Amino acid sequence: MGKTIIEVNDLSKSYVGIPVLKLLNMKIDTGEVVAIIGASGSGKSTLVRCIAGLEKINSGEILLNGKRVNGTTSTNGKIGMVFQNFNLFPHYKVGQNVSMPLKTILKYNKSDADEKSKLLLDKVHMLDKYEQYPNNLSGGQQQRVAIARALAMEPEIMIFDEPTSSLDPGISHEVFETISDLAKEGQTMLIVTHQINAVRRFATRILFLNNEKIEADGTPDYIFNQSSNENLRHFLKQVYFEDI
Amino acid sequence: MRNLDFTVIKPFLHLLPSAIAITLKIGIGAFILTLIIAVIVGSLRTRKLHRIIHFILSAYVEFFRGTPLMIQLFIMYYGLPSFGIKIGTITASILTMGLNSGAYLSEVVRASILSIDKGQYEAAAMLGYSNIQTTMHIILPQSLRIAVPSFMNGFSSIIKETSITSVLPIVELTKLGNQIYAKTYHPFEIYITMAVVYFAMTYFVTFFARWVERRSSVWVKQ
Repeated sequence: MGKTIIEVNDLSKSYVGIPVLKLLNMKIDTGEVVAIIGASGSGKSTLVRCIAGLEKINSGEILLNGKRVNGTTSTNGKIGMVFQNFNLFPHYKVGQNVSMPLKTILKYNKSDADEKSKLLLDKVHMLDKYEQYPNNLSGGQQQRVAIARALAMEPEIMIFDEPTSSLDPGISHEVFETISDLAKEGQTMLIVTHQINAVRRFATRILFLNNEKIEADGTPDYIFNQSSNENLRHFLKQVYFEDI
Repeated sequence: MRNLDFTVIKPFLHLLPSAIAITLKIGIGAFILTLIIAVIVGSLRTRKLHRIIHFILSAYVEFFRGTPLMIQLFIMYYGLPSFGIKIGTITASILTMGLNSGAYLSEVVRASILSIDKGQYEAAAMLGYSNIQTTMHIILPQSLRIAVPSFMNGFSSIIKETSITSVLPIVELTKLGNQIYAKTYHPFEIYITMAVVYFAMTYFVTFFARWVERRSSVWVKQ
């Protein structure tokens, strides 16, 4: 494995006095595709939002390439974030959603920004929607545009916070196809999801979050077949039951 | 009841264009000032500010919302010269009406900014937008669309409220009406004519408003 991109040391986070994460430690290296699983309310989203800098942490530290980034989002797109609700900019066309941040933040000129946004939208199979406004797209299409927008900033790590939770079950596969393609290219990723079967195919590592900490950490094979953690077994049994 | 005779206005018709020009000058000037004030004050008031700035902005909004426009006009035109500040009638009218409507509409801007989903701020932050870039590129374009109907209402109101400036030594539409009335004693014909002229102007604003609303809403779900 490559160098460490994200390092979380003794992270604690609580909401109005209720602990969500307690002295949590984790590391992500370049090229890893890490999925976080766990029951609703186990703190999966909170953990990745802390790493992204969208939540203030109570104690501990978060390092991006060895530098402390606790509670700051000023990483200039180095951490790419894909949200549950897409959060596309509705007043920008699809193409502009990708090209405007390039112009505004990275100071690309118009033709370079347009070229790059077309390339990325082609990659997520959304080039034909270039001139459309996001509100005229389906949820799955919007999410793929959001992925292209985050990729445009050439993030060192992409974080997906339940990227398919607000989509119809039939549509989430198209988003996972895109994520799976990125995994093949070696993009470092951290994915929070309930759809364990979908990420199982391409995740290099799975973390099981329970009782405010990471209770199990290993390859998909280890998590699904070898770990003897009772909570994990119980959780997987439940999820599989729901999946059928 | 005597017969209506609209021809009494005829000898004064040549005065109408300059009165309309002054009314429009005040109306449009005040509207532009309103836009600037409302956007700046409205967006500032959605932020955490220094206590003193917060107090000044609140005091401004409350003063202009809580006192009559005519009194504000008197303070601006007759009151300020006591402190050595002398301004012309048109300038005083534009300033007063702009500050007055700006106070009202800054609240509309504030509310429309607060109605933008926090996910928009988060997405912008993750892409590396600074606070000011987020406001300028992401939040204001969306919230101003929400505010457009209120702004256009405000524009109509300003055009109509310019009639209050007739209390100053200035011959805009209403004052012209008063003067013609004093010479002809035909109040009904004269004020109906003035009403029609005001209506024509605000009707034009309504058309303009529809155009602006259409233009600014192209991205809303169809």
